[in-house]
Amino acid sequence: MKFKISTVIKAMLEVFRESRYWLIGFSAIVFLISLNILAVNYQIYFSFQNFNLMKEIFIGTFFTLPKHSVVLLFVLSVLSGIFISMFAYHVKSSGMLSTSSKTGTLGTILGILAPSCTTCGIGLAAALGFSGIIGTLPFDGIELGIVGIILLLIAIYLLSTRIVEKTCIVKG
Amino acid sequence: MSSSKDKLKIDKKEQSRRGKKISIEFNETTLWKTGTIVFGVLFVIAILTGGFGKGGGGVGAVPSIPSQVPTQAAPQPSAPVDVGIGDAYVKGDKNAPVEIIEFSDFECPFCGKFYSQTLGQIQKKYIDTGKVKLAYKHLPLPFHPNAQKAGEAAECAGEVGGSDAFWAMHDGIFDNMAIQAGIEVPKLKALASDIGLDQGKFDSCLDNGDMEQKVKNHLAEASSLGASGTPTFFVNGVKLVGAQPYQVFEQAIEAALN
Repeated sequence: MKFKISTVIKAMLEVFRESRYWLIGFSAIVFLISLNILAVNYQIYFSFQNFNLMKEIFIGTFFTLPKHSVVLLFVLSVLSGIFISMFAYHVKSSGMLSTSSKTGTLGTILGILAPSCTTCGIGLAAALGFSGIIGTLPFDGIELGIVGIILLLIAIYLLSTRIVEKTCIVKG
Repeated sequence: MSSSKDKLKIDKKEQSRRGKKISIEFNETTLWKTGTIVFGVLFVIAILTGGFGKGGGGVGAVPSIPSQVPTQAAPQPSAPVDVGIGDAYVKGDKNAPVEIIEFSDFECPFCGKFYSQTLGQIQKKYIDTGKVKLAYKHLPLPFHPNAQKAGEAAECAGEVGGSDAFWAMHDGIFDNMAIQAGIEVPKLKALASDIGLDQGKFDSCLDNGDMEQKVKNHLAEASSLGASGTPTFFVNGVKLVGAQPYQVFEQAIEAALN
């Protein structure tokens, strides 16, 4: 098997030909970004139940997070959204799970946890209490984000080959 | 070919025909297994060591709570917690309806950002008009080497010169941070001189660590309240994390007032 970028392009053209997969991907991206932005301050939304407050926190957090966290957040969320859309397409069209799902799932999990600000305590990892662990890493969690990006790219490629080849691998 | 393996290989003949190429080969199953084992081991070690000794039992970068300090139960998602001003210095009318308690670190750039970009607006619109009172408590992070002593310096200023002196030292330390003038002990003593404090009493307080326990008590309280980073605010007992812009505080204060 050769590594071909054209495989990925063909697969994405096939998947995103249908508008439902645009919706799935976009929804996933918005959900993942929102999860990181809004998770740590959930108490104040429930207490004051003020939509404007939620809106201001959503916008304000982009100015609060370090720049590298914002970049990681967007890149990982977009890649995760693409992976989720392609995975949904593959499951629907082939009726079975791909082995790339494990790689993609791990990449998505890292994508959710990596873009956290360990000092200022913003991000899903901080909300779950993991910012102390991530803060011990040499590059403050950027490494996790890069690993997540690599895993997602690998998963997207593997899914692309499944989608384009449209054959079951003969095992044995 | 093994049935459990997916391989990516560039054909060597093709490679030699076309010239130099980058060969990428990996085994997806091995990658998955290795990654799972590595992260699993790291996770277990992190849990057993409390974040490799630098996490506070999973609560951000805050150290473990001293055993003599009672801990609070985890707050319900929508229930305000009884934080209490305690022995913190307060800016504004003590009878103001909205209480903001700030847990902050003098060496944290995000805390400096709140001080330089947001506090002034809150002061002008809400503190000076008697609607909000702001209390400052210390949350010196372990990887900020000067934060503990800076906190003590502010408390010593308050001890020697009163509340106004505390806030003057508070402003001076953050101003020094903003211009990267440093907040080591000699700089803190120079600030005390600039403020007009009794230098002898201030230096004695700082050198003897008279305010060390007070700062550590605030730190322990922050940990028990689930403060996961700095700055963390409690607006009438409801937690708000991060150096949010003024508009966020405006909305939160207006919601609390209503």
